[in-house]
Amino acid sequence: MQSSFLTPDFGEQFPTLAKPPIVEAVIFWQALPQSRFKKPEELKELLAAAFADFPIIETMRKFRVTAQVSETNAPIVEKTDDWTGYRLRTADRKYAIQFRRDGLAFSQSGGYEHWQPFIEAAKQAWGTYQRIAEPLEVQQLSVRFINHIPAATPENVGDFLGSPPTCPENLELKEFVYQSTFAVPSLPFTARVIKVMQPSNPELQKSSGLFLDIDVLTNRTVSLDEREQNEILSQIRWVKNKVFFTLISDSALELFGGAE
Amino acid sequence: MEFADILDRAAHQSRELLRDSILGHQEAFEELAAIWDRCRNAGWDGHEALAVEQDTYRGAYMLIDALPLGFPRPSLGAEPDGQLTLEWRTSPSRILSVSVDPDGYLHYAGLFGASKRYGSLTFFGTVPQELLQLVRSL
Repeated sequence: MQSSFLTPDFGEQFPTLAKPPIVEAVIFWQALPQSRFKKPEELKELLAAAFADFPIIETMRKFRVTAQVSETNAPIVEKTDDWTGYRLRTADRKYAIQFRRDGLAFSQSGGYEHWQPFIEAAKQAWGTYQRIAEPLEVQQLSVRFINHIPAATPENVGDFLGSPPTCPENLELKEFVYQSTFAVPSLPFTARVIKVMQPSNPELQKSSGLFLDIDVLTNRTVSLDEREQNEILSQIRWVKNKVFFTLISDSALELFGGAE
Repeated sequence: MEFADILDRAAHQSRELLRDSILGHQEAFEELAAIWDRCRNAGWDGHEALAVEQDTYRGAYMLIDALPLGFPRPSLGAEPDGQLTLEWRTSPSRILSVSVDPDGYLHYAGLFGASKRYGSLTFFGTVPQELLQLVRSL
């Protein structure tokens, strides 16, 4: 019996893609540190030593520009600028670690082929975060895969998505942004799917076409127990794959070199 | 306008989520913040440079925010006249520099091989098509 979201089969084999459209794969452990982070400069030195294969270290800051209008004065801007952590990259910029005040993210951009080496590298980084930050638990664990299909255009998007957007009669589709959030039945996960179509442009392939962003998140806390996390990651991976292969069309599967 | 604002925020949130990825320009925002920190007071260049105003900062922020996903990332800088610049360069003879002023104008100057182009564009939150074309032409 083919598995479904109601009757998941976590051992299900999905088609292997010779040319996966993945542009970025991210795992994020949202886990507040128990031990107070040292001063940023000291933490930076610690990270440089711990992640020698990631020689590029950048400061991460979160800031927002808001405009307010007061009764008497001209509009003012408030800039909130907080240090949020460090981003470390490999020399080829293919792998990145975000060592953040609220957790650890590990990402691979470009050249993703298999889950196993990706998850093993991510877990190594997570191990280092645990040693430094000493979190008590994982508030949220998420796996996010972003796919890019530059060949997709508003005219042919139906060749790539099983359910393309419907258009009012005689109106030409130019671009779209869809965000959907799904509850996964009988599993403690949420799946968020964002589809973005940007106008086609041969000179800027990286900016053209269809973006399919699938993010599967736990909606309860996860312990630090490695076995539990492995099981959850395996389940999350199944949900992510199930969502992806449900959304794309058969012709897209062929384009990506899908083989059973 | 209440419902319009709600829907605008929802649509913006989707793009924001994707901007927090390799397709976005988070590093450009960080670079912008660092530049403004250095250049927000007059004389920041050790001479008579004008301070970069808040409106200029906000304009540059909005321009970066409006760039399409996956768009080439610009290099950022500040000018002694207080304007912020975004620059795209593919070779020494193919450069586009866009200056943001506090009044909502984008002033561009580009070298496209043997050709040069100059102009000014208004910016209301959506990247002008002309600017996108210029970058594509590099």
